Amino acid sequence: MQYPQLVIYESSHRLDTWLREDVQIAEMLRHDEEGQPAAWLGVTVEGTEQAGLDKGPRGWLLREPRQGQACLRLLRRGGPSVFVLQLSGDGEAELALLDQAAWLYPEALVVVVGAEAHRPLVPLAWDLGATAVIVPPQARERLQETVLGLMQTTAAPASMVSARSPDAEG
Amino acid sequence: MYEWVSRATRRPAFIPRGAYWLLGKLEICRRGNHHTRFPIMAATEHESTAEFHWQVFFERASEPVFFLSRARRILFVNSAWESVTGWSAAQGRGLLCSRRSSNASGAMTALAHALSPPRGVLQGHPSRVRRVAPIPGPTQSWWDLDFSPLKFGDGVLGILGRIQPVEGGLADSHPLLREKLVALRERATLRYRLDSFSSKLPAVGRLRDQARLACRLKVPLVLVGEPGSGKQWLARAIHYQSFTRDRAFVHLDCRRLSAPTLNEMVFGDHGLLRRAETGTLYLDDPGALPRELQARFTAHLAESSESAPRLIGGCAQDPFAEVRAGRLLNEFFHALGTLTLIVPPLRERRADLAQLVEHFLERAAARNGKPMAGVSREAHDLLESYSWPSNLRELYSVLANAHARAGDGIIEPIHFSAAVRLAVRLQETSGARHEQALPLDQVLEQVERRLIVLALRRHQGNKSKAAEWLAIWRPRLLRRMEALGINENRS
Repeated sequence: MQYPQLVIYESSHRLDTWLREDVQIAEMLRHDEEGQPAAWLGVTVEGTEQAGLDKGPRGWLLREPRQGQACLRLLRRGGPSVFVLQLSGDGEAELALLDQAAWLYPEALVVVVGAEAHRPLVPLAWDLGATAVIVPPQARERLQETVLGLMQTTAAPASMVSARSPDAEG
Repeated sequence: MYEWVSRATRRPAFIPRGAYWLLGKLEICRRGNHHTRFPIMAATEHESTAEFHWQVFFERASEPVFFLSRARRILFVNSAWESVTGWSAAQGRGLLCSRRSSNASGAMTALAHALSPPRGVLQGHPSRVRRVAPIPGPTQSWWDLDFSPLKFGDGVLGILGRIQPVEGGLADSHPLLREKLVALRERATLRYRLDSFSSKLPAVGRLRDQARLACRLKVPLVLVGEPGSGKQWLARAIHYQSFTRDRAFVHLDCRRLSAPTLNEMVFGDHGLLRRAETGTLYLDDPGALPRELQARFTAHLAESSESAPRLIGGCAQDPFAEVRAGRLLNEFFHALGTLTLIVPPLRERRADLAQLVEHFLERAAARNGKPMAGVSREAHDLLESYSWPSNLRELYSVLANAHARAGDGIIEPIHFSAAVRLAVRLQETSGARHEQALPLDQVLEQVERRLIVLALRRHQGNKSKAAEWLAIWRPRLLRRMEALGINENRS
């Protein structure tokens, strides 16, 4: 599958909420409640898929796995990917995940988000291959701006998605 | 029986061979025998004193040095080691340096753990690690440890270790950084070694030499190469082997990150240029930056101090063409391009393809969670035939996908994508259309026939004059006419 995906790995639902609050990001996202991948419909289209094909932008599928290995499985599928990774606790597990994602899937764009307590880890996050690292102040606004910019500048593939995602997201 | 070197006489001493015995005697020497300030010779009367000065060097070296046996027990330490660890040589000798067990008292366990060599060292691979220094103090301090295995046949005879206390940098600015995270960083940096940038091609060898020079210089530089040719890898390799290695490498994608985001990230109140932990800023496609940001970077480069982060630009297009097109500010390019390195595309590195395939297959195996597969001869031929427009990035992607499709077996041409196979087939077909065989013997025969016929016509069939004109003997002309079937009447 080559559809663009926004993968969020976090311990709370805060980042998901922040990103959905941004109108432009929300318009670019498509999430099927039944777990089906999103269709390639433009935001203004309702009804027929055919009409949607003539409209842009394409939809991004929002994925929120609960396990690090599930994130890597999603990145392995290929296609444009923006991976938002939240640091928690001492950050060790998330930084190890960042290291694997950046090294094994260099085409993925990884945004690392941390709290003020994670500021000493910012240089390491850059070292391990993050595309952007965000800590307070104004983390919400900067995250929205960064993710929107990455999604807008990443081309979406032209093919339609039709298969159900078999990924076990935990 | 042996006798010590005497200050007065400088007579050599003779003792049995054996490294441990030798080092043991050295230790006895250091403990205060008044004869013992000179090297001890082995039991070979032909060896000169000069061969044993290495022991004096170890002893007098200001760097803490230690020697481990194959079983990871300390055999030898120098005075600097005693100073930095706070333990005497006698206390250190025999210590088992392993992270899982220790023969020491509780106080020395931390020292044993700190000096334990990574697993790869016992297999003959040098290693460098950063560990928490096991010494009490008001703040946590760190050691950089170099382990150099000394090989003997197929095995390892012993391990030479060196301790380098880390000053400032990581210790001061990363108080929360745990040893595991430091180890994670060290493992990541080992992927970017210029030593692994080997090639059969002189051009790549020159590039490696230029990169080594860049490691020693504190100047900004520009890497020029097609997309996917390895500019970022090279920038990281330069960073991790230069004066900036203890600070962060920051990759900024100037195409994908918006101008406000970049401006805030770099020049904001908590911007990267203001942070002491920033070692290198790699600007991926600096021509994509808005002119205002390019101007800000230019001003920064003009004013920056020696401790400021180094800037490296990665240009996919010819920077001079970018300047002419107005995409790249001339002042910015000249400020950034104090040193310019050209990274060749993959199609100019076909001689390295086998090595690159092996490297990327290792990564693909980790990516797909399966053992590393081999590549069949036919598949390798296909890889060699392909033009690789997206260079190394495309090679990795193609191999990773093929590895995933190959299951547990060897990668065959069928495992590559249809696009790659079709591209190679088209290349081969278009090449065959214009390429015809040119047999040399036939061509020479045709030329000879024409010349002989021309000579005969020119001289109205007079073979003597024709032979003279062709500067050959007449009998030879007759033989060649017979061999080529030239009828003198018809010509």
